[in-house]
Amino acid sequence: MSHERYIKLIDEMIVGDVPTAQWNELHRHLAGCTSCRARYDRVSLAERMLHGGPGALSTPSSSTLKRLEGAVLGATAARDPAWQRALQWFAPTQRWAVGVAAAAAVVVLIPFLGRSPTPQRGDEFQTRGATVHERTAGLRAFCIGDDGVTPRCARSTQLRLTVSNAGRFQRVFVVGFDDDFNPKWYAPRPPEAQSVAAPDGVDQQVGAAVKLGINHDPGKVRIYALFSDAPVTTQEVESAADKLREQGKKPSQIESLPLLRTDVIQKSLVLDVE
Amino acid sequence: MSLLIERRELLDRFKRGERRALEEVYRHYAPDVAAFLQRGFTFASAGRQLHFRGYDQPFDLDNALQETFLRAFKESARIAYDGLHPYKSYLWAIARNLVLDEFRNREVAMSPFIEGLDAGGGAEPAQREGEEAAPSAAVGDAPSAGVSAEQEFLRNELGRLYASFVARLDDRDRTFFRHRFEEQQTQVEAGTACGLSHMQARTLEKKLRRAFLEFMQTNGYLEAYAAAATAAKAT
Repeated sequence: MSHERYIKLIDEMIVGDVPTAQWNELHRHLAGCTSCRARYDRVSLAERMLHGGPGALSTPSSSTLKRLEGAVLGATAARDPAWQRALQWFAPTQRWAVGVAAAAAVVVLIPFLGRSPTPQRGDEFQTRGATVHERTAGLRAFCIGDDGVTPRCARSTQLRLTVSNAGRFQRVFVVGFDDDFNPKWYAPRPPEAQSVAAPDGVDQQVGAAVKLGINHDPGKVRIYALFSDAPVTTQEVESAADKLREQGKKPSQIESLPLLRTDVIQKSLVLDVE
Repeated sequence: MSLLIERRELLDRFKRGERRALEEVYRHYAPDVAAFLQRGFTFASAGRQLHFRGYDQPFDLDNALQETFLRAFKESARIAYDGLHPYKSYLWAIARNLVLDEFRNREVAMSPFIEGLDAGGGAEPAQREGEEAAPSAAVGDAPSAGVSAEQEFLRNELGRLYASFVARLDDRDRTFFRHRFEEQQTQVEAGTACGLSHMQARTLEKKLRRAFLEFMQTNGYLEAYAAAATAAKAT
């Protein structure tokens, strides 16, 4: 990472979150760069003031504590055991029923899924310059009406998204953008701002079911699933979307977001909302 | 009452290294540990009574805070915690050992943070190299001498710029800014106070953060340091 990039990353502390992987790299750089530390100190004070006003100048801001938390837990926490993740799947709001319904719908959905550009191999649709991943993952969408899964996604239907995580990624971020760049935050949902724990297995629902009549206008929506081990943040996703917009590109035509990191594997599909 | 003494199930999960337990413990204790590292403490070294002033620069403090928890959350340290004494004292002892290790390894670099005390100044013995922090270690927490004149100047400058930035905002943005940032309300709450949807509040927050950074850059608060950084790179 270039020196200017570190300076930009320091300034990003005011604008939004600095992802754990980038913070770790910045932290190492700061240890040996006096001028960067001076800037970090100034930006940190400004950030503190932004998180509580002049009275908060003496203590680390909540976002600083969160940033350090990511670094500490990333280095020390064990992953929840499989049985516990399974329990988490079954416990709240009977999500298992949705999973069963979604799994049963796969056969019905084959024609519909055939139209989606969901990549089939793990090394497709990488950001330019990205490393090649051997770990695989997938994304599927199901539109469910009164009579179950439907091949067309009317605004009266519910959208359910599932992921397959053969690559055992720890985290997934699922977001959609229509061609006007209106975001649809499927998982995580605001105010959460980091990718959620990625479920293991095949066609596991991620995020809650969404009524397409809400926040989805008729037209195409590109849905991206970003699989990674280190968390992806809303800030990163928004920056990538901003970049696409600046380039005059439409999400429906772009299969992967231009993220500034290479440890993320992306899967996407287009939903045609009617 | 200590979190881990009151909740044994949390203690078990914490000792196993479960992420959610570690998160809860970190969030509960991080502000206390930060305050401890900031205000400093007294200790003795080679017969000298010394006082660690505390870290007043954000990077020094953030770095020490991160390192303290990295040490505290290592498996050996989690298992070593006896679950009987307050975990805060255990953390403070680890933080203290971290500072003393730095002092031993980089005495010259640490000299700005250390000052001598008169004999009988209430100092306590430093722990020996390699010694584990004792769960019940009593830790001095006398307040530090406060921020330096340079720090005071910087804070005044920042305060002035901050007030100037807020004054430039229109009524709606200022109201949102106060609710969201000064009062630390959620995006939804701050948006509601201004008649904004969550999505609008989110967009406005992003805009205000960007504007705040640009204001700080264009008014000289970060300018000198950008130049210094460029010069450092060139050399």
